[in-house]
Amino acid sequence: MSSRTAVPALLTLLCLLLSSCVKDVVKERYTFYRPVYKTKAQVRAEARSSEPVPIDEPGKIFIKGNHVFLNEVDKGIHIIDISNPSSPRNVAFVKIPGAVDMAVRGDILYADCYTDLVAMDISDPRNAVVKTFLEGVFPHRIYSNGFVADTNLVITEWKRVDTVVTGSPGEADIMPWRGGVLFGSPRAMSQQSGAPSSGAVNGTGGSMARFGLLDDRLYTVSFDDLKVFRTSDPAKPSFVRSVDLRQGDIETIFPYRDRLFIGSQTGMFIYDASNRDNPVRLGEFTHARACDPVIADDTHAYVTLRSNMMCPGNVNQLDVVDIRQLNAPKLVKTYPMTGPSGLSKDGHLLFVCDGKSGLRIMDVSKPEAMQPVRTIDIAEPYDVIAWNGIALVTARDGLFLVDYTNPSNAGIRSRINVID
Amino acid sequence: MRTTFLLLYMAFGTCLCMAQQKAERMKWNASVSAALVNGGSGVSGQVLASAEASVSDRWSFGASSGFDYYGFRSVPLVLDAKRYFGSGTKRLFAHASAGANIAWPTEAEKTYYTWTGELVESRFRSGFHTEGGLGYLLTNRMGRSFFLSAAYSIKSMGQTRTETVWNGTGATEEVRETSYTFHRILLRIGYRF
Repeated sequence: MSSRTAVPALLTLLCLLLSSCVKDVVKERYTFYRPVYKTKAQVRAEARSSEPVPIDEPGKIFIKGNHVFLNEVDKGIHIIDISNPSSPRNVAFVKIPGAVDMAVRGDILYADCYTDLVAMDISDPRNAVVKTFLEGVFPHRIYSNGFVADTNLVITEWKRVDTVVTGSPGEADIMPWRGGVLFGSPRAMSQQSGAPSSGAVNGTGGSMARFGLLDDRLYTVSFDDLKVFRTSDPAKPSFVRSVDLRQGDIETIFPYRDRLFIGSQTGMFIYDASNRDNPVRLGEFTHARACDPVIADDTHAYVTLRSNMMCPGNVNQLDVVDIRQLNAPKLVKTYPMTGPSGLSKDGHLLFVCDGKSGLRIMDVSKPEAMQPVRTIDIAEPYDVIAWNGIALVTARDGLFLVDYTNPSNAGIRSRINVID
Repeated sequence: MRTTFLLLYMAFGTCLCMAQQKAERMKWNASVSAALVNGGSGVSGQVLASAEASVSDRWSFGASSGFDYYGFRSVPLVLDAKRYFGSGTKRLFAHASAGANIAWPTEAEKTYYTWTGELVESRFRSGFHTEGGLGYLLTNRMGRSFFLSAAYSIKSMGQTRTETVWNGTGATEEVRETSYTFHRILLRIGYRF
């Protein structure tokens, strides 16, 4: 072999031999959140009230008497005294890991503790006492993306982790969300219409609720079913039955008179709860895919549809639905919105949390021709309960008390800020 | 990195000074080359255009630039040094180069979809580019040459992405910084004129 061919051949051979020895290096610096686990026994031992703590991640709200119950997402419930609406007072914090929903009947607070239902006596808010734990009644509170929580462990907090990973491109290119954890029901939603019953009195929830009280029954919705709990003895709730809703993506429940209005990402479903233990479907109103809390009165239902990072679709609107024929709800009119979520109604006034637009107050004397009354500048309001001239609004920045005794001149009367 | 470039610049300047002192012997050449680039991320290509000054029978110095498609598209901008062995029309040479690797990603490399379906653009940072290897130069009677070389090369660059992360209670935006260091073997073929 001549040098003219030998040298190129050698160089090519060298390349072939060495190419298997080289390896690319990818160094990634990223942040993820790691769950901290405790056993259920540890969590139960810790479920009790403590001194008030600052609001950090406000969730759903519930009101009973002069007390507002504000969910601290996945951590517990703030109890706030609003007997003086000008100066709300954070009086206690009930630590319940995994809590995103709640309801209050008499002196008993019901909340979810991840997959369990807990009933706590809060007659002395500063000294709440666990009365009952119903295990595994919310199996939908599992984690998606291939991650399943150990059935005997619950997550009590999430720790931010800044990390650096070095590897080859295929190994290191792991998006945190891919390996991370997502709830099947992310920051779910809760409100309810409470109705008094013999004995204990029910409180009232917001429109984003998954818990709803109707007399001595507690109704909860998960991804695709409705659960009924008997609360005749409030301190000892008992599971009655699970009703298959024949529909996924269920998000909210709103009890009104003998009906249950259930919101899903594809429609509103009306159930007859005359037989408290066995609700049956009466009718449905379907709409474009979006997140949709619902409230209702005797003649109309009000459904907000929103689309954002957590909600599919591309609609942001308020639908007014005629429900005089419960088995054939009919769309009356659609009103464009910015990014509506929770809503509440008091008399002829409708309150809508409308994303960047703030809290909208509208006159719904004529549902087919609603008139704007006032818009309150609150950053990203989430849920609202209009109650006796005061609208309680949870928002990104905290809890707001809006005075609407004079609707055309409504304004923020007081607030409790979240911590920075 | 800045210190490295400064040292390279000084060395290159010194060589050119030496070349000017021997101006009567200095000869300028240009070359174009294409390389098959093989590494852990697969096989890709690189094309370079070079200018070099032969300061002696043994040494030449120059600068090169072109396109490198391995990993992410980039533009190497490097200073070269070559040491020739032997004489005549068939010569062996060793070469080394170092300089900047200027990030120039394609749209497809720059953009990515988040898990919510949103198309987001990432930012790229430039890095360095080095290469060293052995080659074989064949010169014809017209003084023009073909060359073949095998080399080991490193190129680096960085990427910054914003991503949505679940923080236990909601989605939050975080920054992901990625540094790439590509180690490759190059088989280069070129034409010098």
